[in-house]
Order: sequence, then structure tokens, then C-alpha cells
Amino acid sequence: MHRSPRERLTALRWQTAAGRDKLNRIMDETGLRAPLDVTVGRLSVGERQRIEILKALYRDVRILVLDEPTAVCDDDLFATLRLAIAEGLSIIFISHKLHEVMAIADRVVVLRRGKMAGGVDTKDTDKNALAVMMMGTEATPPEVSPAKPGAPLLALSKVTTPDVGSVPGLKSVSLALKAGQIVGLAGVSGNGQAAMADVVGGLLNPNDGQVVLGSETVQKWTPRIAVQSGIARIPEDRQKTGTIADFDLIENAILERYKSPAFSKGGWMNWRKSRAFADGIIDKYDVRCPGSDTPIRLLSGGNMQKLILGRVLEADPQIILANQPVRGLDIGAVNYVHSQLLAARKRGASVLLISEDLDEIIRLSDVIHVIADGRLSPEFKRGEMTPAQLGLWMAGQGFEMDVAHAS
Amino acid sequence: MRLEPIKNPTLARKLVPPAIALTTTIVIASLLATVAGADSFSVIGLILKGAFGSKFAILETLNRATPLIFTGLAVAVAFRAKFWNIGAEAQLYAGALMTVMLGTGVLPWPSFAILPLIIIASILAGAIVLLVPALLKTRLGVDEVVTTLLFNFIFLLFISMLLEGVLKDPMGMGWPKSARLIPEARLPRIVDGLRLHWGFGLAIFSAICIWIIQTRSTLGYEMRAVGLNKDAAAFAGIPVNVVIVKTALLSGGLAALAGFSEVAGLKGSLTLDLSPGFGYTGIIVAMLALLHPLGVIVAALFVAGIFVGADSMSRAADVPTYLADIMLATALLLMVLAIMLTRFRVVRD
Amino acid sequence: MTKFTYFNRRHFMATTAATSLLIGASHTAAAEPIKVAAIYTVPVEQQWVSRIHKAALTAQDRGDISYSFSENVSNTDYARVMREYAEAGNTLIIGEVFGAEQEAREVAAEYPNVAFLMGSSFKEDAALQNFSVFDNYIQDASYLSGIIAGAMTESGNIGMVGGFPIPEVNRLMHAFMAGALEMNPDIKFQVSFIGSWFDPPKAKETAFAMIENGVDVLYAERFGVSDAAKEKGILAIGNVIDTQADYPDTVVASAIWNFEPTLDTAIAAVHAGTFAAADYGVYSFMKQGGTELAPLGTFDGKVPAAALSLVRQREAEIKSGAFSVTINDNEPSSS
Repeated sequence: MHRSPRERLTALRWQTAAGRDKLNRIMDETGLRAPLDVTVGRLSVGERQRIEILKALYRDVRILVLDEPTAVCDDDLFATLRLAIAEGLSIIFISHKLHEVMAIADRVVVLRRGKMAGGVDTKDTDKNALAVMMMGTEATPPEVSPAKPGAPLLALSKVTTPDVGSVPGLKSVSLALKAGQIVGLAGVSGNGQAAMADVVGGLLNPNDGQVVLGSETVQKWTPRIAVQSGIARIPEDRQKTGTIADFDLIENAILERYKSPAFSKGGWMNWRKSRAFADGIIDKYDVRCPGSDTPIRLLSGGNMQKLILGRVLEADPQIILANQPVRGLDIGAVNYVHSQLLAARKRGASVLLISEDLDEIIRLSDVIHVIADGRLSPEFKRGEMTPAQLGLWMAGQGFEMDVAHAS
Repeated sequence: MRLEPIKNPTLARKLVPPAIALTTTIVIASLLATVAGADSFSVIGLILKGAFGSKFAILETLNRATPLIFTGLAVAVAFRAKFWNIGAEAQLYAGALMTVMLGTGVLPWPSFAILPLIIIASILAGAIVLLVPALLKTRLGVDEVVTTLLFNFIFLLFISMLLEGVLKDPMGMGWPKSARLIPEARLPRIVDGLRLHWGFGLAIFSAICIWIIQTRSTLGYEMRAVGLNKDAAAFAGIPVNVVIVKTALLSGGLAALAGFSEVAGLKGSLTLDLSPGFGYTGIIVAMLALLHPLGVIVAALFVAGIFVGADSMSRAADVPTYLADIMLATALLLMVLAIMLTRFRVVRD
Repeated sequence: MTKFTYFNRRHFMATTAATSLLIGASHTAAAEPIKVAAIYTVPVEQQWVSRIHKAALTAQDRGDISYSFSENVSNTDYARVMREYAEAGNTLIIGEVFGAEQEAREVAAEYPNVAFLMGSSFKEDAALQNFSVFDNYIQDASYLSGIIAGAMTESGNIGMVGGFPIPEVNRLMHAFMAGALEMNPDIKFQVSFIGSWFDPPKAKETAFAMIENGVDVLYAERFGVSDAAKEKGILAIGNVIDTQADYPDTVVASAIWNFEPTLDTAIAAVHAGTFAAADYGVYSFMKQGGTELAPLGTFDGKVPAAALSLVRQREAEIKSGAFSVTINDNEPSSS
């Protein structure tokens, strides 16, 4: 994979100059831009995606299949695709995001459990109708009742973390997570969300500033201490960091707390209790699996996420870090995860919801912050801002005013 | 072409590739033996007879397998945590060194006191030898493949220096060898009159211990987690670097036991040719065993059996002894391939 | 084992039944070859081992023995191969146990009916009657080669490169030095050990360093030294085998080891049923034909006559017993 995009396109024939010309022409025509002389491994996910599409266009394909292409929300991509469609390209666009499908597709086919559940032109349908087709029943998003916020459980005070490559760290960020409240963190991917999640989750110690738990300033900050302090962590990437693919459900269920007296004693595992714990989660959170000794890689994303939810929620956490908790899930699983977060809020937990899906943020959050280039916006109450206004903040506008105002 | 893991291998899938590998090995061995002037049909029988055909043959095979069990375990433990210890050879010599340092008379204790002390000291010596690469990896990110491999050469030269200097046996007539162990420091034989020593028993015991540690202890759980997915382990709060260092200590200690067992069980003194590459063969043993501690016993017996059998065959059939080396290499190569094919299928893209 | 049962002396004394059996066995043994196996830790092309191998092949051609061997056996495997050969019914097992001394003696103790004749730096053990030792005691020829070296050096500076400072190496070096000093008492020696039996590059490097220091004759105990001498155009003295064919303008003389007297004595002892713990080292002496000076060959006529007459005189005296070369096993040092 350590080849620059230019090589990848022309390696077989080495007609470098001709290949470069053709690529430049395609990029001019479509407006789809990617750096040609950087190794792919150093590019962002969005840029790699563009390269894949460029690659297809370079080969003069007639049909383009895009499988979940918008993990990173990208309006440019849609504009490009429309240009390509106008030039006669056929596109099969596979997505679980209904608004994307409605925005780009002419005709929609819904698959449910490997069977075609129906096909319809987008102009004759809407999101709700599609959701019904997907679920087989009416999908009802959970009701959101008004919040009753309590005392701050976790606070960041002027926290600064280093930049990682081209991804900014946090820049003097202050944030309070209060009991019984969902705080939404909106922003375009790669603007410091990872650093925020790592600081709250115990993986990253701030260069500057403090993490305050209740009323105590944290001295030593590790994942294990975070978990012991009652922080539930739903990781952004459930396959890479959330679970161990070849571990079974039991081993994954106790991953964060195997050292606690509930699961081990004097350095020896108690597999009987661990199994009971995993079986309990499977029951309670409706994890569909052949059994608790199944390797977790055999489970669907939704069932994996349910196990993670069970793992963290069964410890009765006071603080929940939910980083992209519904990414890649079908609508039924999305509603399930959201209802669990709301239930946690109801019993007095504080939730930090990090998501690139602005709709999700707006619907669930009692308080919204926007993060852009590592800086945090002031808090906006539920309903205070329209999506368009939030979008401006996400684009980096408003921060200077805020700074001026603050000083 | 690429490899795709098989989710639920059938019994046939588990048995057929190794069977084909064994058959192919035997065919190749027979052909080579024929070329060298032996009767191709007698070759198989002679190999089996040489490895398992008599009490004598079986004991020789077990003796030969003993150090391989230790080094195989050392490699299996380390590889399980994706710590690539290629330096079992150096750790083996560290154990042997400690054995002759303590066992040649400085401590005139009875067996029940001196043997446990030497065992513990050997384990510590091997652990310390591997601690250096482990710290270089966890602190500075230096690739342990390079450091452990190079350490083998450095350590062997270090032993050479000692054998030419302070450790040289004053009664050794000038040969670069250490003094002999006192009888109390020798590992007794399991049965009087048979050559098998208690090093074999210690090896089996170690394999069972490692198996229990891997499946039952929190350390075993941590080592497997770190090996399978370091990022997830770190996210979950497992102290990855600490686990790597602990793994290294365990692995180094196991390899050192191979050196202890060879010196105290068989050789009685330390020479530079104590190990004909047991540290490296341990890697193959661990791979054949799919890193399973009990599998290591089987794999070590297989490797030792092929070697002893083929070596014995070469004498019985009067063909060059080098044929045995070729056979062993062929068998190991094919078997590693076959073991892989029991878990993966080749898919053409 | 059925036909040619070997009995040691204790058995012989023990029962009359054994005596009659032995007589029967000796009768057939005269006609049938005895089974001899050899175990070498290096390939049979190696200088030291090649002499043993040659003697065994000769005995086999004569019909005295049937001979099988294993080469390149590591010391780790040495004891096992000994057992295998013993189990396989060999009557006499020869080899070199320099690196597996203790284990080899343990094996011998377990097979009292098999005769072991092993190259060793140690002596025989009265408690282990079937285990005899030998070594290449070729100091007689080394002494003679030293005389020639002493006559050939112009700078009076001789270099000696050895493997390890073990008895068999040390005593030959001392004999060589004594011979050279008899020819020329003012000669200086540079002695070095490379710590390996086979490391030609290192031997060569060491030799080059000596040549830099003014050496003009080299005692080539190891492979590589003659190459250095050849490259720099100086002379060399060979050891154990004659390598003059490969270095016609370099190797003046060589002390040759003949293993035949040692092996043939052992074979005869086994035949007669009298094999017992002994040091076979004496069968490498010149008196026994165990060593000789290789023919001068390409250097015929180039060695001073005074030296040649001294060589001839000493050779005769050694054979008659009038002169004996001192055996000194201590590590030699530079002078």
C-alpha cells in the first residue's frame, strides 16, 4: 500500500506522463482533487476515497459501485457524482444513511435479510417510507424528554493536547459534563474529536490544563483509572479499538474490567463469572449470536455495538463517552443505541456524544458544542441554533468573534 | 491469490494437508536416498525404526526433543503476544552459563538445594538477556527482531570470551570448555540406566504451566489480547508495554531452561557448540504447534523424531548424513505449509 | 553381535565357557572382517580426520574390517551416534571426543562389550577397560620440520598460527621450535591462536600481521596460513597432511601423521580379544611409523645440505631410540 496514487494508476505500464495528464484532466473536469505524489498511507480517509473514485474514472468505467462511500460526510462527492452521472456513468450507491440515498439516488432498492424488500423511485417516496421498508415495521425514534441537568461530573479546564500530523489537538478547551445531560460535540471529522475522546477516555494526558473528576483534579490518568472512575467509553472504531476480533464474546465483555474482583482474583481469571456476565449482556441487550463463546468477528456491527454497550453500561457508569455510537448501524440498531443513551441520561448519567451526523447531535443533545480546528465553541442550548448556523461554526466561523468577546 | 481464514475447518481439512506433507516428505526422502544408492522402500522403515523403533530410539528422540520443547515454548509465548523473540539461542546460552557458574563447585550444596537455585538463576539470566530488547522496543521503538537476532551473535562471542578466559576449565587441557558440574548439580535420570533425564520432565511440566497461565491467568489473558489487537488492548486499559516486558521475561526464562537442561542433564559442562541451533529450531516448533503450549510438545517430538530417525536411517542405509538435514528441512517446510492450509484456504482473485 | 562377540579380559578370565567361545570366535574372525564405525565432527576432507578416514579405508581394502562412518556430527549428537553404532553391533568405534569427553565415557561404560578408540586430550581410565585414547603425537616429524624451517629462515623470525592451545597443538609447536632452535639458536618465534579449528580468513589475517612483523617462515597449523605465505611470497611448514601440491612454491616440508599403526594395533587387539584401556598415542611416534617427514618435492635441492644431514641424523637416532623429542603440552608463547 506504500505506493503513491500516481504509481498505483500507472504501475503496469509506467506511462507516467500520460497517466498524469489523464488524471489531471479528470480532476479538472470533475473537480475531484487528490494529491498525486504522496503515499496513500499518509492521506486522510476522505482523500483515499476520492482516489478510489478517480481510479475508477481513470479506467473509463461505465458502472461505478460505491459501498458506504460517505463515512466522512462529503458534499463535494455528491456534486462530483452528479457530474459523472450527467456524462453517462451509472452508479450503484450502497448506504445505510437514508438522507444520502434520498439526495443522490434516482431509484432505491431495499434489501432486508438478503432479500429484496422493495424498489421505488426516490421521487415517489420519503425517508419514513424507506425506513418502514427496511425494518418491516414502522421505525420510531425514541422520544426525547426535557433534561434535568445536575452537578458537573467531569470537567476539562483549558485542556491543550499536541497536534498529531495534520490533525489538530485540543486548543485550551474547557467543557463541563453535567449529570442528567447529553452534551453533543458537532464538527467535521478530523478537527480534534479524537483528542477530545482520548482525553475523556483516559488515553491521553493533556499537555496543559486539567481534567477534573467531580471536584478532584486528576493526577494520573489512564484508561483503567477512567473506567474505575465510572466512565463508560464507546469507542469510535468498534472493530479496531472497541473489540478484539478473535476473542470470543466473554473475553470481549470483560476487556475493560478483567482485573476487577468480579472477574479475577490474585491474578487468576474467573471464567465462570465472566461467562455469566457475558450471557447476561447477551440476554439483556439482545445480542444476536450463536453463543457467548463465538469469536466476536462473526457478529454484525450492530450486535458488536450492543455487546460494547452492555459491557460499559452494566458497570452503572456516571459518565458516558459515546464516540460515533451509531456509525454504520442499521436504523433499528440506531434507535436502540439512542434509547440506551437516553435511559442513562434519565437515571442521572452524563453523556458526551461525538458525532459527524448533525441530525443525530441536534436530536439527542441537550447542549451542543461545535469543534473546529481543535477549538471549542460556546455551548448552545437545545434548539438555540439551526443546522445552518451550526454548519457555519463547523466551517470555522465565529471562533474569532468569541475569542474577541472573551478577551 | 490470497489466503482466507476458514471459519470451521472440517476434520478432513485438519488431517489431509499434514498427511500429504508427510507423504511428500517420505517420497522426496526416498528419492534422494535412492539417488544416494539406498533401497527406497526400506527408507521409511529405517526412519521410523531410528526414531521410535526401540526403547533406545525413543529415549534418544525424547532427549533430543527436550531442549526444543523449552525453546519452542519460549517462542510460542512471545509470538502469542506478537513479541518476535528470535533470540532464544542467546537466552539458552544465558541459562547454560548460569548453570556452570553456580554448578561447578562454588556452592557445595546437596541436590535438593542447588538444583532449584540453579533453575531459578538460569530463568533469571535468560529473562534479563531478553529484557534488554524488550525495553529497547517499549521505550525506544527499536524492532526486537533485529535486536534479538543480533544478540545471538553478541552473546555467543561473550560466551566464547568467557570460555577462553575466566570460565576455562583449568583441567580442560586447553580446550575452550567450562569446568564440569559437580554431581549434585546434575539432573538425575528419570529411570536408572536409561539416558532420559529429568530435563524432559521439567519441559513437560513447563508446557503445562504455560498452558494454564495462558488460559487461566490474567497475564495470559493480557498477553493474548496484546498479541491479537494492541490498539484494542491499550484502549481497554491493558498496560501494553508492561505486558510485553512480562512476556519477554517469561520467554527468556523458558529458553534459558533449555540451556540448563542440556548442561545439567546431558553435557555436564559448557562448550560453544552446546546448541546446534535449538533457539532457531524452536521458532519452527512453535509455528508447527500453532503457538499452543501443549502443541509444542507434539511438534518438538515430531521435529526430534524426524531428525533422529533420518540421521539414523542415513547410517543404516549407508547414505551421506547430510541427507538427514535435507529431510528435516523438507519435512519442516512442508509441514509448516500444511498446518497453514488447515486454517486458511487459497483464494484466486 | 551374534557371530563376533567381543569379550574383554575380565570376561576371558571369568569363565572357561567364554574361553572356548573366544577361541571359536578368533578362528572365524581371522577370516571375517570386524565391524568398525567412525564418528567425525567435521567432514572427512578435514586434515586431521582425513588421516583417520584414510587408514580405515586402507584396513577395509585389506579385508580386515568393514567400515562405516558418520561425518559432520555435532557434539550435541555425538553420544547418540555412539550409542547407535554400539546398538548396531559394531565391535570397534573410533572417533574424536574432544568436545564430548564426559558423555562419550558414559556411553562406553554402558557398552562394555564394544571397544572405543577415541581421539582425546585426556588419558585412559583403568575403570573403563573398553575405552582407549589416541592423539597425533607427531612431535618427531615436527622436530625435523623445525630443523628445516630453522635453516630456511633468513630473518631468523618464524611465525606460528594455531587453532586452540590444546596439548596436541602445543606439543607439536614445542617440538617444531626445538628443532628450529637446534639449527639456529637465535631464532625468534611469534605464536598466536585463532580460537577456531576452521577459520581461514582469521588465520590468514593473523599470518599477515606476523609477516608485517618480519616473519619469513610460517608454521601452518591451520588452513589459511599457507595462503597468506603464498600471497606474500614467503615459506610455510605443513602439519598433519602434505599440502605441497597446492602450494608448490610455498610449503617446504610437512610433518605427516599416519594413523595406520594406531588403527591396525587396535584392530589386532580386538581380533585377539585383548583390547584394553590404553593410550595409543605412542603409535603416532616415528619409531612406530606413525609420523614422517613428507618428501621435499619441489624444494628438493633448495634446502641447505647441513640441515638435511642433521635431519637424517636425528631421524636415525629417533628410530634407534638414541634421541627422543621432548613432549611439552604447555601453551607456547612468543619469544
